[in-house]
Amino acid sequence: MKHRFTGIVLTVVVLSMVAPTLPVDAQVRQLFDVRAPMRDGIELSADVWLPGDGEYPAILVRTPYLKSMMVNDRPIFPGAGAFFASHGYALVVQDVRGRGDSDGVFDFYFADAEDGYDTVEWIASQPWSNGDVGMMGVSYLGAVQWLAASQRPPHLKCIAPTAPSGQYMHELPYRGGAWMMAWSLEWINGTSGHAEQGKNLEGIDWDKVFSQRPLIELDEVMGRRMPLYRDFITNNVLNGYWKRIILTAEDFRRLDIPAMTVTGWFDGDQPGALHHWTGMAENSPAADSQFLIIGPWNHVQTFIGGATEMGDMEFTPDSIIDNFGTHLEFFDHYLKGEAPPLEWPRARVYVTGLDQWREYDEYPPAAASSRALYLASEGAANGLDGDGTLVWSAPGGQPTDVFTFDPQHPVPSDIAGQQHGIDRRPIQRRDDVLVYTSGELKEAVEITGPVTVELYAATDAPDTDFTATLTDVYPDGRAVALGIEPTGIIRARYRHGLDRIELVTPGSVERYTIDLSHIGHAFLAGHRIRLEISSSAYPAYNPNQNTGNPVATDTEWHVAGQTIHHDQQYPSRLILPVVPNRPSDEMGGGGS
Amino acid sequence: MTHRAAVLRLGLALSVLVAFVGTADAQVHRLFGVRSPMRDGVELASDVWLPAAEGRFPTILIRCPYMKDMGLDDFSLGQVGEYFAERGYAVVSQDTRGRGDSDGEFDFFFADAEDGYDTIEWIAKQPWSNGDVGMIGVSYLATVQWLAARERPPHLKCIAPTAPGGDYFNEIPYQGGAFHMQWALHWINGTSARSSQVNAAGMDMAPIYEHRPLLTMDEAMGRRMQLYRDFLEHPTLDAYWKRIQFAPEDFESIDLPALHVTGWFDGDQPGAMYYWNGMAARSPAASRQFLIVGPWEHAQTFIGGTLEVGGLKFSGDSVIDTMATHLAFFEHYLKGTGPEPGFPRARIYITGANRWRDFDHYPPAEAAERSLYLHSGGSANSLIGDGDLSWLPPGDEPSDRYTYDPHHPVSSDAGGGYGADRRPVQRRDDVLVYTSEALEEPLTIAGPVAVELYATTDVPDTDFVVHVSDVYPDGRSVSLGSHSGIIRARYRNGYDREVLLTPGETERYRIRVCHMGHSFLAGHRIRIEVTSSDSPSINPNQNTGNPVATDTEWRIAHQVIHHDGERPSRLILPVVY
Repeated sequence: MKHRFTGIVLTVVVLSMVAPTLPVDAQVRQLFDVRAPMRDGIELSADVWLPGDGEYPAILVRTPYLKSMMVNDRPIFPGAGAFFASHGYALVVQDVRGRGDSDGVFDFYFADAEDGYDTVEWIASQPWSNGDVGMMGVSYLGAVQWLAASQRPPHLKCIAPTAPSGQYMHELPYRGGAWMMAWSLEWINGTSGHAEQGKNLEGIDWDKVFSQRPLIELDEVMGRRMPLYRDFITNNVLNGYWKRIILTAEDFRRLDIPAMTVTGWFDGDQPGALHHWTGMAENSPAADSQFLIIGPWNHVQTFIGGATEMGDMEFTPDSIIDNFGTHLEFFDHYLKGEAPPLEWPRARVYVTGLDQWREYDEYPPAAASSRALYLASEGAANGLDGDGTLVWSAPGGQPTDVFTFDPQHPVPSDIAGQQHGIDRRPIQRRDDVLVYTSGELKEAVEITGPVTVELYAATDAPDTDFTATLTDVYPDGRAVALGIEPTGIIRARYRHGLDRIELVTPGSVERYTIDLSHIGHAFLAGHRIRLEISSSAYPAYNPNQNTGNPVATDTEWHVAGQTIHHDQQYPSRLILPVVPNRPSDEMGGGGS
Repeated sequence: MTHRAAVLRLGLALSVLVAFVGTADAQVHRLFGVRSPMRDGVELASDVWLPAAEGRFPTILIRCPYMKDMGLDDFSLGQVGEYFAERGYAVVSQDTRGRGDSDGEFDFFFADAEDGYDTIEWIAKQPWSNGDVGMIGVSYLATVQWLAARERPPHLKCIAPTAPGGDYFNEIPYQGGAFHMQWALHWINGTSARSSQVNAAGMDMAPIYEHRPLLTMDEAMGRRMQLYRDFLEHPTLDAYWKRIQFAPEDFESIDLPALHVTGWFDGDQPGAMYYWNGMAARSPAASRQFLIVGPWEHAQTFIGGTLEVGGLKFSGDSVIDTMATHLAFFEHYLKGTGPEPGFPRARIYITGANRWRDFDHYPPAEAAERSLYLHSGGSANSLIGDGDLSWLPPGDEPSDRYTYDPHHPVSSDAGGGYGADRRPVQRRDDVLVYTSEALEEPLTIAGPVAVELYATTDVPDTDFVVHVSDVYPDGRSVSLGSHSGIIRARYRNGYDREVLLTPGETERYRIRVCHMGHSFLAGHRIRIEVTSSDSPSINPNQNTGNPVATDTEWRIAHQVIHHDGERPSRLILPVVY
């Protein structure tokens, strides 16, 4: 009963979110290219939307994608400005340092803590400000909120970071220590000047670019030398370069600020969003005013709204929420201070498969417990026709599975440019992909939280990668990808930590932990759970060249022979955060 | 028969062009963010596309204030780069001064002559250049070609300006001396900082357009814009404008082949025709000038047309492969390996008849000026009035009268755009409507259309606005041309001076409409509207005679349009057979 009630509450909330429309007599006032001086004299440019001639609470957006950012071919900020101004807020949209109309040189997040502080305090001194400032925005625009907050500007009252990055060796530009080759080249090119870049890449032959070595020169192969690209690929451990922009428990302990965190099950910046969420939930004095929403959304959808399908998955219409309306509720209470206390649950998550919103008092849910599915086979788990299975208890003595990883013929990370929720059977047919599938589920298995794989593996190379991908096999056979990339990865040299490089002894069995991201999904009765194990996901990650050489400058390529163990001594397993089954009438009839 | 032959030639030319496409080599090398120093030390940024093979290549330069990787619908400058790089050219797409990744301050065209020269000569020194440079681009990207060409950079071999602005008192920011308020606010806002500015999207402009004085309307919109104020503070054709406004003798020293493209619905047609006429009349390279005019709007002149504009529909061959046309031009005049492109001097698409026609001159030597005279019984107001047009001059006829209230101007939006049905506008009482009889046989025009108006007003300054349409047998009154014609009375004697009226005195106004290439088909009628405003496109004349930029007064004007033996107001058409 409790959960059904929950569903109704959320529906009501969604309807009330849709309701706010612009008052007809709204007289919005605009100030374009307003320049704010930073402490070093550099001026940053902002467009400002105001409700009128008074003093207002202000919402700050700081963007490297230009104040003129288009979403679906429409500029997003004039509409946002009119929306928030018509509800009594000033909206300030600022180009970050070195981008758009702001002066200075862009250097990733490294100036955003101080620039964020200075901008918040500059706003508070403007004649149209009442001194209360909040922040909002997605992705980079989300991460800058945490960086500004870490400096504790006195006038910052609350933040609403959507899909912020925050874990730089395990999100971007590295994940599990593997270099995110495609993202790095495209994103850094896209921010390599004042203006928007990116259309200059139209028609480029990426496969040709990605095939060149050394990696450190791929920027010039693509079109230009990019200092940031080279900084990133040179700082290949969690060192002082990165620690400048990663918030720690110490930071969160001092962060006494309400925050609304939004991410998605298909959001590539989910690791950062949940890093901040967890840090605040565990450490912040404002732990009670932290709120989490996770929907079935990809990165951009976390902010602009979702869709009722993702790849081969479908969702209910209530999976799409009114994002501006949600923000307005949050700001009306924590920034404007007029509205009644928010009656939001601590965490709202949309469980795919089940296709219902769930509310929890904490996240990950206290009710979730780790259950393991063990890899098993007769030694021929290769491909969709192999004999790999997943079982609920560790198998006894079993032969190992072996496959050959040729980095010049890597496993694709996408199919026709799509990666989320897609049917991965075309990939699962490859011989260098081990496939382990459970029996048909008799009852639904609902998971919510972090999913990991513990893999016992040996390689004949001094370094290599191991990847894992989780899919839900529907009764009709489709094997639908779950998770953010969706493929998780560990680069062997980082198996003992992302802060150090330790090559492996060829042939020795090592335990690898592969993070498959947080997943909120119900595998319904009649479905099967399937895990892929392989060694590459290209071009998302640069294929490990298996040499053990420094990655940035390596020009050699070796083929690696991989061995996956699954027996009592080496119980390779998939670890799922299982939420106990609820009475069947609460399952939305999804068990057919 | 000759026209059919011309169409066939065009077909052949196109198939030759398509053959070039087949030789494309997909290997392209890119250089992003390449910086070139100008003579004053300011650096401009370019993206460069090169054939992947090592070598020196003829180079095509694009200079753009709209971001060097600008996209238009499915088209982008990057595609231009790839297209020509695959065919053996280097392509340089540069942000103009103060825009995008280029340093310095943006100041309209005023730095583009020197920056264009310096960029061309910089290109010629690059290791990937063979020393031969051409230019390509539309709109602003075309005007900069003329400005560079006038400086005569030694390595510039040819230009291909599509829809260039260039007639600053007959186009933008002034037309007939009247201020293009809507364009000026939005275009200048859009270029008011380095990056693209879209902050005015969806803005409720109505209260802003009512702000006076005009000079501070920029702040009412969102910011003080120096260029907007410069434009308004130079309301005559003075030295400010003459830096970029070509004089007829300028063309005498431009000895370059040029491919001129514009459209019947192109707002920069006046500039395109100004340059065309200047080169055709005076350039030593007059025999290497080529004109193409299609049934296209501004952007379509470069990215390709569509089969309809408003209520006008065109044949499939009205859409041409603009890149292939440029390639044929550059293969001969820039790379030097291709045959003469075989273009006729002028190729224009006649709407209504819906076919291309080739001419040895443009305007066609065979076009004859014919006048349709205004007539009425004294109440030509609106669609239900008694105004008509005929080939016969008027005798003794009463004048028509209307009241022009600048607080309630005729809406430039109600007209609905190019090829739109004008009847919503023609229903107004302050719009005089004159319509011909149904034509017994088609009437084809090709060239400039003008109106000569004998008019009286009771104020020291006012505007007169005319609009031409084709009335279909079903009653639709389909707009022709790229804009209404307008004259601000104080400029009736020239744009270099403001001469106010003596209220009550009749004046003769010559109003340029634009060039049209159109057949009024049998059974159709020809119609013109006469009124005094077209807002917010044009700032409504406040009828006070005060300086326009700072005026805060408003007066109502009472207008009288004459059409009698001594004062034969008329529509002047360039008729071809």
